[in-house]
Amino acid sequence: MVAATALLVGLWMTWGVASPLGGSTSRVITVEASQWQYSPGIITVHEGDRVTLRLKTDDVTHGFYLDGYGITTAVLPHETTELHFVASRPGRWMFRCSVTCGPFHPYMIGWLRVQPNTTLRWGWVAVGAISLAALYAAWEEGRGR
Amino acid sequence: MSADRHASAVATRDAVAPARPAPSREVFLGVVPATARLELTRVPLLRRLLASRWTTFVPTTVNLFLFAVILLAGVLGTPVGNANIAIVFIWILWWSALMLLLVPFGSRIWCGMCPLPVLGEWLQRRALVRRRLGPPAGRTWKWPKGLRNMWLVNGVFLGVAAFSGIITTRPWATAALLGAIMVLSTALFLLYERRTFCRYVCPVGGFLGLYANFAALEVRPKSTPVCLAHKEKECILGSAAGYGCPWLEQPTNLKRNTYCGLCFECFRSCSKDNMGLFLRPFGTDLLVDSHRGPDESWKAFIMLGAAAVYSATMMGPWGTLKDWANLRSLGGWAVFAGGLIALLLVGLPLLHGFFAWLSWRLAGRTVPLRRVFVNFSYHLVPLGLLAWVGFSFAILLPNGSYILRILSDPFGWGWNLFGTARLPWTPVLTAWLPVLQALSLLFGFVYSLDVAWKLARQTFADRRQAARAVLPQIVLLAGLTATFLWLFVG
Repeated sequence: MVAATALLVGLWMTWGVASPLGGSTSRVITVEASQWQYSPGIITVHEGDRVTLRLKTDDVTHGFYLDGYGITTAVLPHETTELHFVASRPGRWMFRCSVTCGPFHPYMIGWLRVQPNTTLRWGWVAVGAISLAALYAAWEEGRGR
Repeated sequence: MSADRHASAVATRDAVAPARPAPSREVFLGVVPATARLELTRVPLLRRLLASRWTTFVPTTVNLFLFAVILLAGVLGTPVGNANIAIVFIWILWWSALMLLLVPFGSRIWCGMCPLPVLGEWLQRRALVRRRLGPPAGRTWKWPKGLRNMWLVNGVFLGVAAFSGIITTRPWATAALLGAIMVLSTALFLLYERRTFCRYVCPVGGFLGLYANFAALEVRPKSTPVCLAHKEKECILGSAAGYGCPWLEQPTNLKRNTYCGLCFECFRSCSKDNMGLFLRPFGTDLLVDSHRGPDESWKAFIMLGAAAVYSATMMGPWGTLKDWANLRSLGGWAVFAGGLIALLLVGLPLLHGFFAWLSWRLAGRTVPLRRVFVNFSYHLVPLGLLAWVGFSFAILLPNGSYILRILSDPFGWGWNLFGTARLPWTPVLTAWLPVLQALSLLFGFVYSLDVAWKLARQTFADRRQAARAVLPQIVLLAGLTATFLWLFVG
């Protein structure tokens, strides 16, 4: 029963993993960098999307490094830099400033969500399955079985 | 009464009752018996090393030199944090090493080589390396009884945490904090006996103490009968070869790592060669039903909550939160500090209290609610520590390459001592960061569940009551883990 419940929950939560929503589309997103944040801070795309990031800044020189993709660039004040990539790796990836821009520089971070976020979903499935198993075991123990 | 004997009397009184050992039949994760031990001091070389006074002196002195450089760099070096050794060594290297390695595998081994209190200890002993006989310098006062707990440590930690946005990014702020700790510790060493500062005041010592109960390393007597028959109690009173326990512990009756600073003084003082260093399963001391209290419960809440707040502030995409923590405006910082303190001191304890109340009700209210509240708070330790492990991966992997640069140019003055100052910033394995963080959390979650079940059986005499009591705790742990997962990879 536990295994079945866990499997059902897992299937429900990971629905969409095998079939990403929609086909690949082109996305153009403008990101403004300033001390010490990106705006928007969270970018959501789908696996397979062709993404163009237009990076702008008005204060100091900032960088952009995308975890998981290894893409990096920099942008000078009052200029725009474009970055092109295919969102081929699903999950949540941090992008971070790669040019020292002030005291909070190491924590100038944004999130790129490439749906479906399989790491999060499988993580939650694991937590759900383990919890259900533990609850079932404790429940049966509590009933004296 | 000599100062040593006086201190030992305090230590004896502090240890209210002999601790009950971890239940011998417990098995962690269904695989590792709680009683499994591997005595490392069977290796003669290690045994000799630990008994040598130089083993403490050398690393402490090296660290003291490093901290002196760090203090200088904080005052005279570049204000750019990631180009200054004060920020890179303390908040990237030291903090990550503490959470990823030193605490889980070495308990409070950092305390044994910490340079912050060492000036005070040298002054108090009036000696650097050798064992100096006679009364110590200073007043050797006893710490007030009402403060012999973690409450003050909790308060100091919260005070530091409220300014974390400044302290972890500005070299001058890091230097000011470390300098203040050094001055305060030196003063307290001259006023109070032994390592009173480390035990009851140090903001780092509090969480090291709590999380050390999870650690896979312990100092314990090799044979209890030998200790019982040995009336001289050299490990408490001291001998010609070593001081009495600087941490005001009774090494003969040591059952928890909380206040064992791994200074190995008892290895030197014990003429029976009866102290050992052991590897053991993770989490062993969390099952020791002795000396538990709400001060340690709150330490568990504070550390778990701080891991979430720091993750959101430093690794999150929310610029407003960063601005608040960074003191861009006083009002914003007040919201950050107030929210942090409210969450850690009230919010999480209330949440835990609700689930403890549910457990208490489901189990039939057969034991005091306070005992249920306190006991179940210890299952937050594995999850809390592993959340910090996940956070530390996120600090170390992207920023670790700064360490090599700083070695060549610690002050940010344009030096290139070892030819590494021009190395480019290079994130390492950040593609694996989400997986590492998720796996850390899942391990913490499973271990916390295991500890929760063991604590339930310890708290409730009846196994069926224990099973009912653990149900809400499973839900609480699942919710906390799911929240951290979202913060780390969501």
